[in-house]
Amino acid sequence: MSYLAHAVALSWRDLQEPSEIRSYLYLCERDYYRILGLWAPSLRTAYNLDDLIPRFLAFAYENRIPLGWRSQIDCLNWLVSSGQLSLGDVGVSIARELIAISASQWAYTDRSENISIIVGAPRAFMTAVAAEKPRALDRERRLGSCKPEQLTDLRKNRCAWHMFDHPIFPEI
Amino acid sequence: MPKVGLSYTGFRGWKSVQSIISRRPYLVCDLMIDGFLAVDPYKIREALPNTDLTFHVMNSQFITREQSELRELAKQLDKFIRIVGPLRVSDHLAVFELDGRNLTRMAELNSQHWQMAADKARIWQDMLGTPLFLENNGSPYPLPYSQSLHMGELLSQSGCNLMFDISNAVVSALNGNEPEMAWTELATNTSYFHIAGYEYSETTPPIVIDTHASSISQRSLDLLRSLRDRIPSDSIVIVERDQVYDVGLWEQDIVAVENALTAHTL
Repeated sequence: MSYLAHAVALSWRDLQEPSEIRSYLYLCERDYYRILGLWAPSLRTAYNLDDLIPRFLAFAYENRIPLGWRSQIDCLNWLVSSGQLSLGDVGVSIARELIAISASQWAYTDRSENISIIVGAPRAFMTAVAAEKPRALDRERRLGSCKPEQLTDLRKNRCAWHMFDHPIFPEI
Repeated sequence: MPKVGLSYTGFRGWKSVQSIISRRPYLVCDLMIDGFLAVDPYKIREALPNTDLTFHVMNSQFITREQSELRELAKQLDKFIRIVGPLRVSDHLAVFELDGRNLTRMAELNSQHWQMAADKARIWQDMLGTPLFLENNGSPYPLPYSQSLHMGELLSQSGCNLMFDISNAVVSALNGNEPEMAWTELATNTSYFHIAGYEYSETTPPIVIDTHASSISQRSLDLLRSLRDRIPSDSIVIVERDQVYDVGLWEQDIVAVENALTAHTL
């Protein structure tokens, strides 16, 4: 698999112990199939992920990008800044998917006292996504998108949650 | 006989957990508590009013996180510990970053991490103000050291306890590490256990992954059976499930664990 082969080359450069490399491959594989392959259909349609993901990871490693819950936002920034993603309809769909995955992952992994987050690219892609941590044992995280002009309302008034329409992404 | 329980990590498993507990009200429920820090702790008690609870901390990152952030997290957890009163509090001996990069999954400690892990564990236990049980890792590749030896040293230096994950010991062994029986001495000195299913990856070569998404293996049940007569009677064994929350399969695992803990059942 070309993706794994690339990851091996990348890993040998950056990691010290062979044991860590195998762990890294495992991590990459999970990320690749679960986060981007399954949950970003527009991205998957527009790009060959076997090519895209290793190139993004190579960029992230070389530029010491911390990844984590922000990794999909970093991927979006990289696509835009390297001229690989335009601002058309497809670009907006991809931006919304990547931003939504990041917001969802924040709500799952963040351990601060903050309850919710708004992640957006309002100027470039006219989109923003908000996420809220679960507020009861039997309630899921909440996640949804809104238009930039609704952001002020959203910040002031939590009732604006009704406009959210995104699915919740898996707990990874 | 030790208590048996099941895990609750997130909303997708809620209906299954409720259904199983309604039929087996004696079960303990292990909450992945740091996934519910935005929940009012009194509401946790209301949701599971008659159920004994344990807390499993997933993402404290106590080995690498800044102490000021850890203190904040401990303050949040302390509120839940005081109000809910869990029977056990456990955490992971793993790292979530590598060379400054965040990982989406926890990774094995390297030799540098082990050197500082005992101090970090002691400090984290002090911050939480309750006995802390630390989980052995299901190593996905051969380690250049014995995890059980490192763990033994860490426990004696830190004053923490072992939360022995039975299937993790089997996973490690299947991935080329020490045999699961190497854990026997440590495992018979604790009263807290986890057990779950594992699967082979699709990579070449395949590795065994602690997925919690399939039935418990016979090898894991055999290990539990071998420990049965040497563990305290107030022990707790949690049957973990993630991703696949089929009630029937989960209950089959619970029954298998109960049978393994019963002296006359083979």
